Amino acid sequence: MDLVRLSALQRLVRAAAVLLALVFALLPLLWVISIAIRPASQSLYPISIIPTSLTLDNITGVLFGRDGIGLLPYRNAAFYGLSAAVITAVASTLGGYALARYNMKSGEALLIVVLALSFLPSASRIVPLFILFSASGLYGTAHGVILAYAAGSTPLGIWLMAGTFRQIPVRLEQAARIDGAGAFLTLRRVLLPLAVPGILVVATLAFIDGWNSFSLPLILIPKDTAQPYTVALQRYIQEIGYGINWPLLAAGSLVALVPVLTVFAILQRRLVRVGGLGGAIKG
Amino acid sequence: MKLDIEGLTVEYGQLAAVHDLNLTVGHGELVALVGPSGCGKTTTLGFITGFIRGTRGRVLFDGVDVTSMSPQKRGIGYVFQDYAIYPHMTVRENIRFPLDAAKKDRKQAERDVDEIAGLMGVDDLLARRPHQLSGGQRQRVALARALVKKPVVLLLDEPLSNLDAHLRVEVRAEIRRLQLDLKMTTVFVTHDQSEAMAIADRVAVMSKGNIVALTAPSTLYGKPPSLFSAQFIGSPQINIWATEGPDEALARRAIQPVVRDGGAGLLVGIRPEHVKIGEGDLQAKVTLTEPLGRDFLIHLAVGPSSIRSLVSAEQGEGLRSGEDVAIRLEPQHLHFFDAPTARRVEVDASGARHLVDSPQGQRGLAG
Repeated sequence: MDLVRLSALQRLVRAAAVLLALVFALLPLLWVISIAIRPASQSLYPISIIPTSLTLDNITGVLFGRDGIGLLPYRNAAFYGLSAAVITAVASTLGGYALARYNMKSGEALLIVVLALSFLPSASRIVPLFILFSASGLYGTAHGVILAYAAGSTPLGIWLMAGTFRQIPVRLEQAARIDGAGAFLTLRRVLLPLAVPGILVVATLAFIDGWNSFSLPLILIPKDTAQPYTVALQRYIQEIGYGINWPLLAAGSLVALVPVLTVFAILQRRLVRVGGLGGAIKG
Repeated sequence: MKLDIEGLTVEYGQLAAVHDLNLTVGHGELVALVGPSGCGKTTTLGFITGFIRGTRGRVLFDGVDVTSMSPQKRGIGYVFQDYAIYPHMTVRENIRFPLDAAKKDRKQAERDVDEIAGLMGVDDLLARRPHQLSGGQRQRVALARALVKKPVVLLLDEPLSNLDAHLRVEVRAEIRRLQLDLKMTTVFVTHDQSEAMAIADRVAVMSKGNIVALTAPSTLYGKPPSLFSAQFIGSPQINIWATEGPDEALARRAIQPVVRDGGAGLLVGIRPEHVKIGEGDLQAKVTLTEPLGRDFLIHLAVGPSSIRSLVSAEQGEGLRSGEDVAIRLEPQHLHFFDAPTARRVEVDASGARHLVDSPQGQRGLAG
C-alpha cells in the first residue's frame, strides 16, 4: 500500500519524528502516573520516571482521605459527560441524517460556519455564555452547562454522522420501505444498527468533552457541590503556602484517566466489529 | 393481480425520462422491460414502487389507483440489482423483516420464513449473515425476502446482472419456474435482450422513454414491429439495408422477389441465420469468419455492402476469408420497414404495402 517508496534515510527520519511525537504526547502522562503511584515523600526527589517503591496511598487519599476531593466531583463530571453524550448523540444523529439524505446546500454551508466557530478556544465562549445564562436563568444550573457542552460537540457530531449515513446505501432504506416498514421502523431496525459505530464515536467525543469540563462549570456554577473533579483538583494547585500538592494532584488525574481509557478500549473493539457494511451490496 | 400504468410521464428538469407510457401486465403474467441504459425502464419500475413521482400518469393495482400511496403500503416485492440485503441481520431476520413490519404473529412468521427459504433453497443458510454468502445465495435471499409476504406484484430490477454467466441462466430458469408456480404478476427489468426473450410472456422494448414494441418473444423476433426492436433483439444483429444510399444495389436485389414497386422509401432486413451460403445466385466475398462455438458468424461483402451470415460450425470451418461464395437471402424471411417512420411494413401477395401498427411505436423512435 506504500504510495511513495522511501529510502532508508527517509524511513529513519520518519521513525525519529514519530518517536518524538510519541514522547511529546506520552511523557507528561507517564510522569503523572509515576508520581501518583509512588510514596508522597518521593514525589519531588529523586527525579526519576521509574518509581523505586509503589503505593496506592495517594489514590485512596484523593478519593477517601481527609485531604481528598471525594467521589462527588467524579460523579458530577460523569453526569456532565454522559448527559452531553446522550444529547449530542441524539441531535447529531437526526441532523446528520437530514444532511446526508436531503439535498441541503444551505444546511451544509451553515454547518461549516458553526463547525469553524466551534474550533474557537472555549474560553472565548465564556463571557457570551455568562451573559446569555444570566439573562435566561440558566446561570448556576447543571443543565445549562450540559447544554453548552452538547451544543459545542454537536456540529462536529452532525458532520461525522452525515458521513456515517452517507456510507449506508439508500437502497437499504428503500428496501425497508418496500418491505412495509414505516419511517420509525426503518430507523430503528435498519439505519440505527448500521450507524452504531458513528454514534459511538460522536457520543465518546462528547463524553470526553463533558468529563474534562473545567472552565464552564467553574465560572457558570457557583455551587461547590456541583463542580467536576477538574475544578476540585485545582485546590491542590492553589493551596497557598503549601505549594502544589503533587501526589494528590497526580493521583486525582490518574483516576480521571480511567473512564476515558476504558471507553476507548471498549470503543476500539466495537468499531472494528460493528464497522463493515459487508454484504449489503454485492461486493 | 393486474397492473396498469397509464400515461406515465417523468421529467427531470427539461429532460423527459419517460414520456406518456402505457403498460398493462395481466394477472400472473411476466413482462420484461428491456432496452439500452437510460431508456427509462428503471424509472418506470420506480414509479410502480412509488419512489419516483411522475409528472403525469397513474398506476393501478387491480383497477385501484395507488399513485399517491406510499411505497410501504403497496405490498410490492422488489429485488434490487445489488440485492440490498440488510448486512447486520441474519438471513432469517432478513427474510422475516417484511413480516415483522406487517406485525405478523411471530410463530406464523417463522413458519412462513421456513417455507419460503425451503422453496428458494436457502433453508440451510438461515443463521448466516450476508457477508458469509455467495452472490447467488444473496440473490436467493433477496428473492425470498421479496416473496415471503406474498406480494401483489413482483418487481425485479436487473436481478441477474451481478451473477456469473452460467449461474445467470440457472437462476433465470428458477425465477421463471417460481413465478409460474406462484402465478405472480411480475415486471422484470433487464438490458439483456436474450434474458428478456427467455423469461418473459411478453417483452416490452423501451427506447428513449417509451415502449416501442410490446409483444410475445417469438413475435418480437419473427415479426419485429419496428426497426429499433428488430435491431435490438437478436444476436448477431439483423442485416438492414436501405433501398436508397450506398446499399441500394444489394437492397433492391434482395427485395426483388417480393416487392414489385422498386421499393422506394423502404428498409429491408434479414436475420443472419437466413443468409444461406453455398447456394443461390448472389456472389459475395468472405471478409472474416468468427467461430462462436455452435455457429460461425461469417462477414461477407457484396459490392460496397456488408452482410452478416450465421452458419453451422461445420460449414463455417470450410470457409476462408477472401473466398468468393454464392449466397441466398431467403425471401420469406425478409423484414420490411418504412424508412421515414421506422415502422414495420407488410407486403402482400400483390406487392402492396401495409404499415403495421406497433404499440406506441413511432413516437418513441421519433422522440
